[in-house]
Amino acid sequence: MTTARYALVVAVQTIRSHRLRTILTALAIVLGVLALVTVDSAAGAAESAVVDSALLANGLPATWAVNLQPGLQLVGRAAGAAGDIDGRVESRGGAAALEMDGSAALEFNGQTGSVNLVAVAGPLLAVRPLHVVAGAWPETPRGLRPVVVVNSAAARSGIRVGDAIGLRVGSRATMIASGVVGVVNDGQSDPTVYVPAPQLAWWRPTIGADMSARILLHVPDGSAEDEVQTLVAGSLARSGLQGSNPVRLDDLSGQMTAVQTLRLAFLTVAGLGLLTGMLGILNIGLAALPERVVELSLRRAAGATRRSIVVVMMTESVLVGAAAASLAVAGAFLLYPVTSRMIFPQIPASAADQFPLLSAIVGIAAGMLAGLLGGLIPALRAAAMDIASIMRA
Amino acid sequence: MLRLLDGRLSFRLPNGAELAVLRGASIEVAEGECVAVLGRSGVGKSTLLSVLGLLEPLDSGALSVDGTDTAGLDDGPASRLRGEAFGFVFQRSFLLGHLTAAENVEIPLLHQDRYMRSGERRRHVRGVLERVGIAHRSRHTPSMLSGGEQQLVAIARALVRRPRYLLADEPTGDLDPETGERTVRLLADLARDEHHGVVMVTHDVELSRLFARRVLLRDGRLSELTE
Repeated sequence: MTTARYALVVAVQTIRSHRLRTILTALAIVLGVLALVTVDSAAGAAESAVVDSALLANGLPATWAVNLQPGLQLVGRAAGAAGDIDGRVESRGGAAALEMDGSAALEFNGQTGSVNLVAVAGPLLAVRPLHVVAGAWPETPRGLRPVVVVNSAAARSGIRVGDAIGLRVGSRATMIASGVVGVVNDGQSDPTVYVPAPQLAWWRPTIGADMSARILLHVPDGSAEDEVQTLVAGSLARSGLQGSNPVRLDDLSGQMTAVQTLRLAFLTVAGLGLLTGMLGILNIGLAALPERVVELSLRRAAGATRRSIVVVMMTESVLVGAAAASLAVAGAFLLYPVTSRMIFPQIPASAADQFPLLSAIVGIAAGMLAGLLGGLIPALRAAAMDIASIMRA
Repeated sequence: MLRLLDGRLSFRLPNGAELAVLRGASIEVAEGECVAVLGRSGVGKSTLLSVLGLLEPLDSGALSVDGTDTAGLDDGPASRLRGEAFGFVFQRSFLLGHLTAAENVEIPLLHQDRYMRSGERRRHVRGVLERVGIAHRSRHTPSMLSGGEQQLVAIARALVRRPRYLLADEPTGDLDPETGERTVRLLADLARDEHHGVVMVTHDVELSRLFARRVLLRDGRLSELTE
């Protein structure tokens, strides 16, 4: 401990006194870590964006979809089938919900526009983890007046929790007065309104003929396809419904492979930059040894052990590595909103504003590691010096 | 007591031949005693100091420092003993150009087992610089000091850990005669006042007379000079 504390004092003295040498040593590390952190942070954000978008659209890992044939009596039966499946998988950590997609005219503040309409029955958020950004998701809607949730895209038109909106489903249908109880981020760029299917069906009993319907089923990983098929077929049969075979939705492998391949390529280049930095420390460390013979021999004569000489030299190079890496991380942080979208254009603007802390930690650790490895050989050579030579100089 | 008994040390020359520098050298130095080592250039005086100061291991013979046998000591214990027991003054001051006089004197304090806070170190360094009469130059770098002042700083550096023995290798070699004499008198005064043992290598016979005891290194052996 004492050795380490003194090593820090000596290292700071040396770094302070040899500014040019320190700057030259640090420069290569700065560039290497800057490249590494920029790529890593952008790739991390791209991965998150891909994963997040897939989760919002297609549900949690191990989510299956069963498309149902439209029909006039569809809503009640489909909600029953979804409820039946949900009851069977709930104990295994699963969930099932009915999701019906269509369109509607939305009236708000005297203006009318077209929106996507999603009628829902069952615990949809347990399958598709939509982010509730305001208000709440209506777990058990009561009453005849629909309570609706709008997505962020719809909220951008000024709709807030507590507002009243009108929904017209079908060309000649009456306007359904609704109250907004929540706003969700569903990853969609089009305005969308989520409405409980049973309430919508009370107002528009034939809605099942106009909307596409599917049951989303999330079951824990490991459930075989035939097991899911048997489960779904039984429930559909009991409800008198016909549907497609279950199709698994959550296959991210294609998109993730593309991001990861690009990330690996960039990281390889960045890693080479870092390797160059490490070689820079090694080179400058070895080149500086002859001019440090007197200093190191004096320290040995004053009682420094070989080990403490190694600790002093390594502390210097690790400090330089850490300082250079910190500078690089600061640079990467400042440039992140621009560079992240240059490298991975698929990153949404919101993600490009959030610099990942892990990348900063990785960058500083990489800089310190480069310092550690680059400083090792000069330190070992310094420790092996013939200290008696100073007496004969 | 610093005791070397029958010390032998050889070097292998680039042409493969063996050069025996110490051939059974023996000497005892008590704390507070001043010993001048005389001898021709190249006879091995600096090597003798390296051996006494644990900078160079013996081929054979025995070296003990205050009763501690140094034979077979690993680098750690040997370095710790060297730091505690010895202070070195070289012909050139070997001050580090990028450090101030005070920081140069502080160097040995940064290689001891006991941790001293920076304030304590600064006060201690200041005291030693005052002891050798150069405190007013403590914040100057070596390039701003004269040769004599640099050597005073080097002596302060050697004294800063209160060693029991000072090993001085021709400390006046780069100084004018007057400054050289002042430096040697300072070493003798320190030995008397602070009870350091001093071993000083020199080929200046006149300066050696300032020390109570003189030995001659010839043919790898030491002999007392009475005249």
